[in-house]
Amino acid sequence: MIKYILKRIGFLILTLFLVASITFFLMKLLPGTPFNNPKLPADQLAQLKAQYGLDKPAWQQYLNYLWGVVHGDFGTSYQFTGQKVSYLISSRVGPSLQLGAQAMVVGTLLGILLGAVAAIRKNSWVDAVATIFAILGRSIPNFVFAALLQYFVAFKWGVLPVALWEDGFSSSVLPTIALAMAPLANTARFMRTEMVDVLSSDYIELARSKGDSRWQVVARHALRNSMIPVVTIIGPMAVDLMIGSMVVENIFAIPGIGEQFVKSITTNDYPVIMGLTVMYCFMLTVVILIVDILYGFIDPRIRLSGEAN
Amino acid sequence: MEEILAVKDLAIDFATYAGVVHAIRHVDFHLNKGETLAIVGESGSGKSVTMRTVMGLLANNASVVSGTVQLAGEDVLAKSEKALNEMRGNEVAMIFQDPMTSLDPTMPIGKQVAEPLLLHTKTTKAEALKEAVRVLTLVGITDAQSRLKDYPHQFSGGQRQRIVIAIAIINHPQVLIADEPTTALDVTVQAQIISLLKAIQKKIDTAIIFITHDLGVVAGIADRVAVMYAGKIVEYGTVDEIFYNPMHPYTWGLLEAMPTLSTVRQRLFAIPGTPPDLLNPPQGDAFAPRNPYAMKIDQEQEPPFFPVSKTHAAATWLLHPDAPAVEPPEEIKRRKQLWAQKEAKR
Amino acid sequence: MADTKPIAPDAFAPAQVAETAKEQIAAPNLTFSQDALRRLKQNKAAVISFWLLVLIFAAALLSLVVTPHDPNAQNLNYTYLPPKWGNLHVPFFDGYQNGIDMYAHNQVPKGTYFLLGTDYLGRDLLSRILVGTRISLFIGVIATLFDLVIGVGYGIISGWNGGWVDTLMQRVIEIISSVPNLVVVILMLLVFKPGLTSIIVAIAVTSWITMARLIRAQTLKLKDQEFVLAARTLGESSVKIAVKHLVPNLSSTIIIQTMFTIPTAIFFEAFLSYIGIGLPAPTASLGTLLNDGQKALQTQPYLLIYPAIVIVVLMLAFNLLADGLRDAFDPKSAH
Repeated sequence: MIKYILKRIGFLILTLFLVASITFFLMKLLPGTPFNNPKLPADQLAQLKAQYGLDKPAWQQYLNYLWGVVHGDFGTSYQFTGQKVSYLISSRVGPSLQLGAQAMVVGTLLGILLGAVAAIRKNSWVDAVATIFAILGRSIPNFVFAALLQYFVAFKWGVLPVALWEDGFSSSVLPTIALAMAPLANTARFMRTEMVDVLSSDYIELARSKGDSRWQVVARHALRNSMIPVVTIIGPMAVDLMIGSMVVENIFAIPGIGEQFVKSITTNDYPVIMGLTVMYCFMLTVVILIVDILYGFIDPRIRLSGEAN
Repeated sequence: MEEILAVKDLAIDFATYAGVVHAIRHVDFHLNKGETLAIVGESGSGKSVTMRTVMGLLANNASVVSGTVQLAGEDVLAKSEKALNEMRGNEVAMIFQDPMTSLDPTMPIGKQVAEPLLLHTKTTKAEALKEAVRVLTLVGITDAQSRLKDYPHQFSGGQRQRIVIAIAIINHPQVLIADEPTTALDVTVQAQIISLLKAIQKKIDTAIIFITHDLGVVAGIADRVAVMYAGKIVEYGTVDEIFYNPMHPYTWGLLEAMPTLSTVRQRLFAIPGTPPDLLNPPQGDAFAPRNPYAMKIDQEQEPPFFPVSKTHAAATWLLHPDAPAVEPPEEIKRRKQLWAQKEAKR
Repeated sequence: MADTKPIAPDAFAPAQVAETAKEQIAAPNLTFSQDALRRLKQNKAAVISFWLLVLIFAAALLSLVVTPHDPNAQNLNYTYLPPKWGNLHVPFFDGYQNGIDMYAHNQVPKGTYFLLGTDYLGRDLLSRILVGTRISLFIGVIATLFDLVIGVGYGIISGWNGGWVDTLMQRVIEIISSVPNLVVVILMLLVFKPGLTSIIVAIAVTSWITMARLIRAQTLKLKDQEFVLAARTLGESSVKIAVKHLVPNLSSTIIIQTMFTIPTAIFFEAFLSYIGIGLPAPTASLGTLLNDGQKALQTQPYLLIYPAIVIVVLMLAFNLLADGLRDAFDPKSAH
């Protein structure tokens, strides 16, 4: 098990190195820098280039960049003069993580509940409602949903803040709902199919023949067996959340890294884009690693075979 | 002998996309206390559906058209969901076909074996686990105490079937339904499981319904045999009557298809054709299209049961007094000769 | 005995049983695709979705020939006109806003209507939605075609060759999928100038991973099956086997996955245009329309709502049809 984890961490570092390198060279390919302003005097331009290390040869810039990344230094922002990218990210990662965590928890818990009830009451109206929820959640683009929520709930109805991150928890309610929709839909759909499958399995029939009632069977046997595989979709859902956060934070004007990423793209702030790309990649690979390890721990079949190796 | 289970005139339909399937078409049988009844038939003949009805575990798309199921004097079909839960695993328990899939993969086996006890009796968890160890030892799991926390995948197929049996017998049910309990196992393990079931039957004095498609297994365990075909019982009798004095051409076919040591044959016999479509059961005897002895009446009218002895009857027109005498296959003739010798000795 | 019918004298004569009757297979015999089609037709949501998509495709294609107004014609006198359906006076579609007849207020000539209103440049929203839907569908379909070629090719090569080739190809996939795919799309769009081609390429380059994974898994399964082994024993070339034996057996996987990829591609385009790095103005696509709509949301909500309805219906129809196809082709596997 430990060998496996070490191997995975090694692969994670290799992945991050490759992503950082590829991003760096992609950015080098980019036409121009924010200093392409023709009005800028030549000496000032040279000074700026020196300040950002752009006067050095590409390989040296690359090594410097990598050296910095290893030390958590992603360079200096073009847009916010003198701001360290690492500071920009670390000061903005909080709201994003809070939103992401809230959306993930709300989405998966409600999704599991909805999916389980739909499977137990298969082909009933509850199932129909859950199916509609799941399919709508997959089909409504998150930015459309966020915009509609903002318009109808905050603007028209006025119960929650329209935007900004100033009213504590209540500011996070609408963005959380907007973000939670995708994981909720995914979990509900996944959970339903798993549960339908489990409920028709032999060991459920055996449990019924022991005298378990419908609900006892669910509580003791079906729920755990169908929830274990749900862990495997946490990775893809994390991707959804990262992407969703870019637009949702933008719409609700939340000072998070998603909003920063979009802003940096529109202002060609390459160091920030590079830093955030590596950051997203890091978060995603860590989530996937944790999920894989967690899965090994909660499924006795994998846990025990892992020990045996 | 005291009757523990009586199924009368049971008919069950299944609603499917293609139409209504008449899976069980008026089945009667009974089970005495402490005896073993084997129900034999090919896949789809309705053996398992009948047993699931006895357990009160029919699928949602199934409906009982007619009949009663009396277990220890109470009508199972009239029981409430709650009463059924109390009955299952207590008065009647079931052993399933595939031990690889019938145990919960994420629950330690000790908990799974103790579960029926905790459900039906006022036992503490510790006591229930102690009893689980006792029953697991009884079914032949060595070192049961230390294996309580193990998961199903850590056991072999044969061991898992022993665990399934332990779950079924922990509450000493009056009726134990074994649904093809040996089909998924190796031949050597099959024999072990059969002798285990016999030993357990003696120990806890339970009646067993043994469902199988393999007549060979039946001889070793059953007291009586019922042969099912296309949702009906076509012949029933004691195990000797079925093996040595069979009357129904379908039973003949089954016996002929069984490899035996005493017959030297080049090829195994197979009953020609396939079972009928139970969406539209054919008019007359369902077996007629595959029956080399079929008569015109078989295609028009379903045969009633003709009694052969007090314990033996068969639903075939061949037993009608007006029917011409037919020559059974060689193998059956040989068996009937043995039967005649035995009868003469009595 | 229950038999009440008198027994005819010849009843016990041997019956004539045709040999064929014995071997007759009782249930009607359906081929795999017939069976799948039957299951698909039973799925009402999938059937409705199919016809909805046909309708949307037809309307989008029609926009090549004719639209109610010129989708790019600007007229600053007609800025932000609410929807008006002729003189029908349907609530919300009567040209009134806050109790004022905006058409009279802006001195729009009689007989000029904008069924879904106009945007900040006085352009007809309905015409732009029709054209935008066409462009979104175009991007979705073309990107999916690329994705299909890359994904199927990659999956078959990886699964068929096995060994180190497979290991290497799978590592590549793992690395690519450790970056959120939209981040890759965004990086690519930064390198190439935003536009129709670069969007299609960027989406295609990132979305083939799922297809490749599914195809590889299927290929691994098929590789060991008798008919493929037979073909190999007979000395058929790998390419021939792939085309003759693998692709037909992979077709249901490919069709289903394609149906899931198209809405994803449409979503990506909309997302990119929405955050402002998609199609440049004045090209209409569902994404750019939503972007425009968002800007005027608080005063002219219909500018967001109508394109939103179109994209939701489109995604819904594709997803429902894909679900239906998957259930029909592969009733056992749900994921």
